[in-house]
Amino acid sequence: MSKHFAIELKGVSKKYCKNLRKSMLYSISDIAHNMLHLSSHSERLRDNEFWSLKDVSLAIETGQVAGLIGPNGSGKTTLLKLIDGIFWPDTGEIRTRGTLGALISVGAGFHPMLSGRENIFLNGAILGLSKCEIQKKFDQIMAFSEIEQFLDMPVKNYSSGMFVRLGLAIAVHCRPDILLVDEVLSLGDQLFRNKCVKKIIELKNTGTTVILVAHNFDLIQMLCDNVYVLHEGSLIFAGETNQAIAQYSALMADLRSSRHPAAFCLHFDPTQTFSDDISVVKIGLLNDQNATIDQMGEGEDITVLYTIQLNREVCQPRFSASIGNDMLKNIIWQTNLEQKIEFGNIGPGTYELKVKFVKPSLSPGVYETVLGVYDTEKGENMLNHRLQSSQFRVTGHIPLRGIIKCSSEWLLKKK
Amino acid sequence: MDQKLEVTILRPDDALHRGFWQLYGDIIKELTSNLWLIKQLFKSDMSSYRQSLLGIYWMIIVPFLSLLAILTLQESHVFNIGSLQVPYPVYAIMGLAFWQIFSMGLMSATASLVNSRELILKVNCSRKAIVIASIGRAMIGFGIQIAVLYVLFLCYGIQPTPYFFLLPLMVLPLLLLTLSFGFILALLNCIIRDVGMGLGFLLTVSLLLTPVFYVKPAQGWLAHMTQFNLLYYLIDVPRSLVLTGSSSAITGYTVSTIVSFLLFVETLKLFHLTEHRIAEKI
Repeated sequence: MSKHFAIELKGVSKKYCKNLRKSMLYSISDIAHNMLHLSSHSERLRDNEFWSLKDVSLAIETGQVAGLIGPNGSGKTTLLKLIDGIFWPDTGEIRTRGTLGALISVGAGFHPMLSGRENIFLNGAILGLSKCEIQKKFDQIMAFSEIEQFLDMPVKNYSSGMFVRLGLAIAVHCRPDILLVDEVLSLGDQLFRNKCVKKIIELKNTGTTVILVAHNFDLIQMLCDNVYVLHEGSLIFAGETNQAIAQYSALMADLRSSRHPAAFCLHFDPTQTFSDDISVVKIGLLNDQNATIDQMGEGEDITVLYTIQLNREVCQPRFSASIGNDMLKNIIWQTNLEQKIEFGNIGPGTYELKVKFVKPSLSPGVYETVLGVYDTEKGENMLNHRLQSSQFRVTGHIPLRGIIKCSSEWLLKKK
Repeated sequence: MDQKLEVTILRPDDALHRGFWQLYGDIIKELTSNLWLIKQLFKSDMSSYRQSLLGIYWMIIVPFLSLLAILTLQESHVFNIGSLQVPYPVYAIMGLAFWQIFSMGLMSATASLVNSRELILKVNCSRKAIVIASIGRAMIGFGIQIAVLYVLFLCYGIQPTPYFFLLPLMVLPLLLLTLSFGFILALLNCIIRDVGMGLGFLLTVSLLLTPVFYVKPAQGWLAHMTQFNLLYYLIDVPRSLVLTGSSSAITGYTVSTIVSFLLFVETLKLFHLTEHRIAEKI
């Protein structure tokens, strides 16, 4: 193992069994083999088994923060559990340098009947700290968790926020050489999340290697040096953060279109409508010839045709049409009123609203458009939700960073 | 960062390639570095008494209730207890104390990994520590029952032999046997829950077949079977030594102690070889 790498995986695979009964039989067979000092030949797939992770190889340098992203079920948590040693690889080899700390679940091992104080000792011991180390870090953990006055109360009476704060406080103060973080930073309130992020940056600066699993791309962009994209158990991309996010976004768009052939026309969740008086029938993207499309080249006009059904009269409607992506909801937000266009009072019926975004210079990637409808006379927000959105792709050369493309002029002058 | 950090390598069937001494070296290292965890897990297990009105006193009340049941059993002449040199309650309570360390310990150990499922799935902590910590409650129960026994000694005016003070040592082979079965059953219970479900029945049958509440019969199939029953020697010999100062089955006890020790060493190794499969099978 190179001394620069904190984590090194070579051809790592992990398999699971779909059938519980067969899984039991296989387990007995595997255990019996191991008990007899025989290999269970875990590299072979048996009936009803499938690869949850397949042939994953990666190397993370000491002191790096690596992001791990991928759709649900892509194998992110399994990979973290393999690195942590909770699961064992079925093929390949995992090498880790130094102590491991995993934030796969906050407060795993907390006993509800024990007080916060007692649970600090219990959880610390579970995470591998000695009594002396816990005593030394006790005050820091207490201060970080911000629950001093409830420290002697059984944790079963803690709010979920307090529970999360205590769990995270213990985990981040273990000071492992390698920290594995699985989505737990999305827990707790914003202030505490910021505190945790600062702590992770502090750990990174002191040489801790971090693997971060998150769906929050702001966090990924802020913290990660490199990002790995997993899909269906395979590593499909490893590299620079923005490129990885672009890859992931493109992958998600492909998945949506393959899972729901009409995905580029409309995602519709009737429960997300603010009012029963309006519904979106269709959202379509049009090219210059008014033909329906689902992608366009960078720098081209984006024309969206929203078909809506109104069940009552709307006075002076304010339509808002926005374009956003996974990172930023409103990259562009336009309303008819801002453009000094008024539609007056419109009665019940089906309407087609055509909005043309003129050469918005969006970087290649996957975007979505959302329609909002506001009854200005009644002050009622009738429709505005991302679940009622339509997705499309802008094709072209993916830039290193940024969402908006424009030309720029540069001048370097020595004074 | 320190370049001398320990490198951990995980490979399929890795433990199988380790030599005998390396394997036991790994096991001893794991156990010694997790003593503090075992203590904390034990404390956590005992905390379940906190939401009980009588709390830890249940551990004292239960032996007294058992004593009442035993006295009723004696008075009703339900079965042939056999001839005894000491009052029956003293004999039975002492047998019960030993039996419960086995039965309670085995039940707890078997259920320990399944009960710690969430922990095992989320944290890579010592699974051996979880199994070992689970028999702590049975050990506390044993201590309390021995205290009750001492009260009985005083009530009946019996002077226990000096072997009484060797009880913690004499119970060790039984603890090793409990842990031996516990390791294997805990592992199997993770895969097939029938193990935990059927254990209660098996323990009841074992209790009936082991001379805990009665004296070993001199002849018949039960006497023949008892000759091969490790539990009989591990329970009856310490009891006889404490109550009468002698036992006719010292050889059986010695053999049972050796077998228990070897079983413990072997099952610990088997558990170590296979425990990495627990998280994905539980």
